[in-house]
Amino acid sequence: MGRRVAVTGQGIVSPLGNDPDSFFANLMAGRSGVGRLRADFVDRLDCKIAAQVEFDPQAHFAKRELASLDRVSQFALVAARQAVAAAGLDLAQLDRSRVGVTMGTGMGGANSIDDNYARVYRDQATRLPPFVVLMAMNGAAASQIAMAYALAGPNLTYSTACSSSAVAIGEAMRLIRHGYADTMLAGGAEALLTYGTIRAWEALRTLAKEDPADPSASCKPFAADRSGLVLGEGAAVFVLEAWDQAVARGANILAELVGYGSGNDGSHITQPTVAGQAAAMRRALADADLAAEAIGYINAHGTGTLLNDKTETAAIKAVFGERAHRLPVSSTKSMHGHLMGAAAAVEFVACIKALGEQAVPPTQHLVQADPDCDLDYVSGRGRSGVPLHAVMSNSFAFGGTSAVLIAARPATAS
Amino acid sequence: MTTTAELLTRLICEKFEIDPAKITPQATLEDIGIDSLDTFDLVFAVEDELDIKIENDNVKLSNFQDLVDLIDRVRAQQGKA
Repeated sequence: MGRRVAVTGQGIVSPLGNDPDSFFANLMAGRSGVGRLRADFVDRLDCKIAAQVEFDPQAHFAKRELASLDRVSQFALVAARQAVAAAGLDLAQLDRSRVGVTMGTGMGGANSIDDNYARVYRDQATRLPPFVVLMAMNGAAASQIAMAYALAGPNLTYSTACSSSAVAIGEAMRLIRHGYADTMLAGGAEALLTYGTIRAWEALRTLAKEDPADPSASCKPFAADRSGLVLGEGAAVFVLEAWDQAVARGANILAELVGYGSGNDGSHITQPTVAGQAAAMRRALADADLAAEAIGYINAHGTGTLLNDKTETAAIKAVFGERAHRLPVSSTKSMHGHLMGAAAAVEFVACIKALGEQAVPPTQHLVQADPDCDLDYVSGRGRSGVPLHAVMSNSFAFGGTSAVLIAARPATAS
Repeated sequence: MTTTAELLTRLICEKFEIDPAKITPQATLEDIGIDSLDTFDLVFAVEDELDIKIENDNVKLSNFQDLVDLIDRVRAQQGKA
């Protein structure tokens, strides 16, 4: 079975606030971080909405540091700093060869790639700044975190599209559980709101149509009138520790990371399967050694696409049976958008806060449910005073990789 | 006219936010606080300022004066002194 894993710190940069408390308060109040895209190229796009973060790079980094940090690494570093501070982790006191980093990202340094393609192809530049490769590479964020804290343990970047950061968190848990590291900074970061990337997403025809009355309400998971996902950006990072280390240093344990299940549909690049999604949920439950009845809340993948939401609903019913109808399931993507490689990490913050506050965040913009989506989606506003012992976070990706995480209250788990 | 040393000092201070007091002829680039990647970045900026082309093979430098000398040599060769 291996060692138990404690969650002792978390940090976030998101379209709904740049700290876990603000983020969760905004979720509970049903506020939306979706709006008109603030970008000088917005008029040339068909899709003019996104979930952007309010972020001033110069408030966090010196000019010289910014010259070699893509926006995605900036988000990752700020989230990591918050997590380390919140965990009260004195890294100087730890053997840093036993401290590692796992991050998930879909497109890594998308801004650096886009900017420099523009220089080369549009502006006919014949040379580029020397940092482009180092800013654009997918592993940059994880490396920057390791460099910031001189962390010499395992350093891995996972790229499985929308499930990337669930994989990163789950694999970090395994590294600790099986003794390859004692402490991991694990999460995900994404910053892909560039002209070229949004154009590519438009071609995929999965982006939500803008709600003409209220652009912030454009993402409508599980609703009959849902039309797709809204792209978002941000990052979230967790401090995970071997349980005994966390207890020994008197850490404030937010939750126990008890289960992780993953797998691939093995069938289609975009179309999810009930069998694949259900298998990942069952694997996570088995990994956690929990019965399905122990789960009190599911943070759904809930993208707001036609296919995902009904497939996920069917998969939840396949795993949870009749009880599925009494189990709160919400898609917080309705408010913070789809952060792709950072989505699972940001949603795991919602799960850890839900456990801590015994409160369930809502699905917003769900007025009339699709007949195929007939679960309790916590429509409208969050619910407080919900006894939660364990919660599940679902992530299902283009490319077919599903990843499911389960966290439990430390009091229940110990 | 601005000397090469003055130009380099200005670029280093602007680009890397470095205290000009650290920049002396014998100071190594490491002493000044710029690494190999920064050096490439700096060389690009010098090329743009002076409209010269410094070949990659030539960028082997131990101290600030070496960099000044290299640039002066290239300026003379390329008639941009």
